[in-house]
Amino acid sequence: MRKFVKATAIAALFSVATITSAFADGHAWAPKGPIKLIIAFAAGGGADTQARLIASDIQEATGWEVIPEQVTGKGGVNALVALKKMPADGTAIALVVTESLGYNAASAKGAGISPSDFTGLTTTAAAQMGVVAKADKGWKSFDDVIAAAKAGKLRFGTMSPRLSDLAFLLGNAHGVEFNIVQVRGGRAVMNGVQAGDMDLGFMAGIQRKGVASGDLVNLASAMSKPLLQTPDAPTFADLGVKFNGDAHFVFVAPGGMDPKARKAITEAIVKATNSGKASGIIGKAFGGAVNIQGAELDALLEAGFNSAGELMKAVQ
Amino acid sequence: MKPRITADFWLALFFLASAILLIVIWIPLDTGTGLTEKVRRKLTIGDALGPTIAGVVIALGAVLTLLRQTSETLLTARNVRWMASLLGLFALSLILMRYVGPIIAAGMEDGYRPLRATPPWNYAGFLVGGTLMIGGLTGIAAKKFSLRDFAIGFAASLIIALFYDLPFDDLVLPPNGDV
Repeated sequence: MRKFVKATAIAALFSVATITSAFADGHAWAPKGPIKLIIAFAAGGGADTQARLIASDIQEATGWEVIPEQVTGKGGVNALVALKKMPADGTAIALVVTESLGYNAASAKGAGISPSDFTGLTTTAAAQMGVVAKADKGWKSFDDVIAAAKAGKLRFGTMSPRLSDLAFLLGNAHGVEFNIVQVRGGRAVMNGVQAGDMDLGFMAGIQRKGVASGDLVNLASAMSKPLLQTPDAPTFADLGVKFNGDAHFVFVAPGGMDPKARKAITEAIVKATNSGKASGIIGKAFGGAVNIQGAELDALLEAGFNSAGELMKAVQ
Repeated sequence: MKPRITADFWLALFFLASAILLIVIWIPLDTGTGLTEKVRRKLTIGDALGPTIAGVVIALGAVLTLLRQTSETLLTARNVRWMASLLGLFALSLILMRYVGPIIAAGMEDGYRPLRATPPWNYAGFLVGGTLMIGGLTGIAAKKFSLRDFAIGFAASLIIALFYDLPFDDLVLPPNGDV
């Protein structure tokens, strides 16, 4: 009997040790305290919903506490300035767009930020950036827009300085001048277009339902590729503009982050974007998850920052 | 004519100095552009224009108050003490709110930051600072400090903290969001 008890005890100890070590391997890194998730987008929009669902998915999958906080303004620059001051120990991350670390960071006078101040974690999706108008305008093609712009100045809604520059160049390429109205976020542009305060504007995926129901129309893709929903809409290159509004939603952390933390948080985000609650909205609004990570992401962010000057020069 | 050194005079002087500080130092240091800037080949309003106009309006108000004082009341040492005690109380309370948590957790390996959303740590600063602010304000107004007022201050701070903290999972009790 004593032998049996002893063998059972040893077996139990061995099992506990095995389970513990397996658990430790699976969770090689854990944050010291809650993770602050800075969201650079207005509350209630597609990007904000995406961020909050990812936070919720990460919490459920890992047990880490994730506390979302809105820091909006200046196309993500305000969020990045706040993030830069935070510890690089994995307890502070932010969701911005690649444009925030590119053109917006390069053009923000006095902000003092560049991609080297941050650790890129992963992109989550590509923004489906289109030039959108209300269907009842009757515009079937971009030529109709130009004809209307020649008859009277059109109000063009944008949500960042880079997109304002693109709207300017789009008009310039067709010999018209748009009245460019820069507001906070794609939802504000959509509200402006729906209410008739703007004639057309950039939307980064939020237009999907409106386009599907026939209330809105994608007049052009502001990306280097056609829009997934309306692949026949011309791209900016087709319309004579050599720049485009390619943008990815991207998670970043302060610079010099512990590689273990970077790996663990990136894996948790990637999992959420592909199989969590967040994957639903990412699929519907942005056409599915796009996870660019590591050296490829670093190169993407650097390239965006370095090429910003060319666009700034083009609008001088 | 000799200017009258009334309370209005000092008030006007304070706001005139503040406006000059705002226009000459603060705004140039804190804005990225000038009063106007050239964007997309057009002259547009710069970051500094709005606050500069606000500063000019404050300065104008101060000068008008200086020229046309409506009160004969003089600024007394008692007035100054009253204002200093109020400002001092607010400053001390806010400092305690911000730093009591980090001070308590100073001896711990990872400090206060990992504990900023964990009770009871996250309540410490808000309760200490809030108790002092409410109890102190009552005491200054009544010209007598009492333990009862501070107990009321503690209860009020606790109710506010719980009202804020309990229903919302995604909110961090102030000022822990800045930690």
